[in-house]
Amino acid sequence: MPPPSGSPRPEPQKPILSVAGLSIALRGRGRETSLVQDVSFSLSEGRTLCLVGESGCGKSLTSLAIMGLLASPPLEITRGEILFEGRDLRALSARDRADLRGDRMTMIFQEPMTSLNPAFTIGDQIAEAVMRHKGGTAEEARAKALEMLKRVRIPAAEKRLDEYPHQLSGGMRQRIMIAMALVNGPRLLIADEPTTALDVTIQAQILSLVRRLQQETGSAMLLITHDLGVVAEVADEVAVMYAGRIVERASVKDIFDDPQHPYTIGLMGSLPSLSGREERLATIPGSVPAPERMPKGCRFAPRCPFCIPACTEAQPPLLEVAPGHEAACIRAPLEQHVTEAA
Amino acid sequence: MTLALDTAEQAAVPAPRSRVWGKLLRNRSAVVGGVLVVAFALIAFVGPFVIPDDPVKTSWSLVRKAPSWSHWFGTDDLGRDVLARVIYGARASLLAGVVSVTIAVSIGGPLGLIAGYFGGWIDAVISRCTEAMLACPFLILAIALGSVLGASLTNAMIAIGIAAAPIFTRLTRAQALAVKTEDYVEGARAIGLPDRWIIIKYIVPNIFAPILVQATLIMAQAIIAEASLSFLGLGQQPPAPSWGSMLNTGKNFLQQGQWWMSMFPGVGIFLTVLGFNLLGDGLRDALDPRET
Repeated sequence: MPPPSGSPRPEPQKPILSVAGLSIALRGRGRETSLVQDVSFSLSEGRTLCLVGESGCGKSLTSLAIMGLLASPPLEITRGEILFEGRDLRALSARDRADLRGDRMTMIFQEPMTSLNPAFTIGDQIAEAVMRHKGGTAEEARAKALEMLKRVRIPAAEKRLDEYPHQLSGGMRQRIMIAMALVNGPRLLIADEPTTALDVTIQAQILSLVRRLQQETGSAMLLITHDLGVVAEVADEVAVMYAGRIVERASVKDIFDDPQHPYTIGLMGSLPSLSGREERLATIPGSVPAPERMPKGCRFAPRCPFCIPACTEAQPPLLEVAPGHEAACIRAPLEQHVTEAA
Repeated sequence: MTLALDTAEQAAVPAPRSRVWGKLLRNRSAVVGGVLVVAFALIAFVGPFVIPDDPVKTSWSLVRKAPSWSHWFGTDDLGRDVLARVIYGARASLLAGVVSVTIAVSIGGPLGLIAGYFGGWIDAVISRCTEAMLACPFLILAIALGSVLGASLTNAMIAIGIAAAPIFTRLTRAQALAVKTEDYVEGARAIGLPDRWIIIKYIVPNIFAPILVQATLIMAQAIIAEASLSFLGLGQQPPAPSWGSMLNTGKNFLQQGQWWMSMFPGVGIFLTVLGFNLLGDGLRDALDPRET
């Protein structure tokens, strides 16, 4: 297991982003399928929250909802509140939200290969983000773009400004995306699996770049990933999602050292280890239930080795099991049961 | 590109523009098409300054003369020089092609963009109207519109433009639908760009290639349509020359063996239409990213 890095930083002040009871549903033909349910978390200046979970668990939907980019219809926020710098985003007009995007809050996408407009040069695209929000002349915006390219360590930045996306490698393009996202000095950066599409050596470079820029600017980061190695590397806090709900939320140290939810425990067990002697990696049996066939009780119950009849009765709420550590499991903390069973 | 690139990198990733040119120039039929189109454009624009004969000057002494050294293409039933009329007719045909395709793209394109990009009820309305218009054959629709608008070359061009517009609406809509789900459009939203801006800078440049191909191919159809309307008396009005109206006149004398009045404008139509079709096909192949 990779050791959680970084010493604990001073406790944060007022949150930049706070999400409370966010639920997202797919509406169509008179049916409503709940995809994200009752997601709550908050994020302060300079901190990094990792949203972890497997594909389809709703982590990307959550980030799109925060950005105001949900494809609506058919996707819709059915309940909940998203406060950004004290403002309720759901109450803002579409125009005001667009004014925030790219300026106060930005997003880096998963696919650097397809996330740049093939018809314009790199310089044009970064400058565009500047001019949209800060105004100014094309020369000023271009100068800003150049400065940003240097900050994301693009070699021969001046030359790259006039190149088209297809002339750059994936890692380079991801640096461009980061430059575009950070050029206006956002307070919140959402990174949706920014390293998934890159090869391993580039992943580490990009992660440390993002981390460094975030520390320089003091912005908050919501990092979406399914890679626990990435989590250990950059997270301050972690929220684990399963089937549309947050099942555990804690500091990165607690998540790795003392996971409480059986799903989190399962995830930790499925990590390959350098010192490992085991032949096979542990897996979690079964698969995530389809959104329209969610069990009535705990959504993880059908796959849970610790399941008792009470688990299938009602959804367990997210409760504090230790200071700053919450888990949605009626059997948490689990140690006592394990010792009882032994 | 003003700045020098690493030569190795340049060789590895050639700019798409030069690649398209290369593919186009290696395609023999596309080159033939391009040469035909350019040749007729030259004939239409330069020809009138070179040719000494007046296309509308009649002469009773020269009625229906066969091709000769003084009149290469012969003369028509009013003693007018057929070569001069064919050259001036090329003007009318190419003008009709360009203007009506421009009208068609500027009506059909924005409608298709709006329908494809925004979707919803506005898409439903635009799509139904488009389908209704497409249900009617292009030429029939153009003739019907032309007769409603009244007989003149301008009205014929408008009629052809309107009749061809739904072809572009459907194409642009489909392309916009495909491009709007691209990651870079999502990225544009994520930096807060307004829809108008996204459509102009992100959608339009990326659907330009198929529109260009379609425009070239429709150009050929528009030229046929103009000739058809003029043949029926709905386009270019006499005495101004047009290939379609020349054919109409010429057909009356075919049985008497006076072939030159209809053959030369016929060849004109055939070659320009062939040129645009070959060029359009070549462009389609050259701009197709799947072909290597």
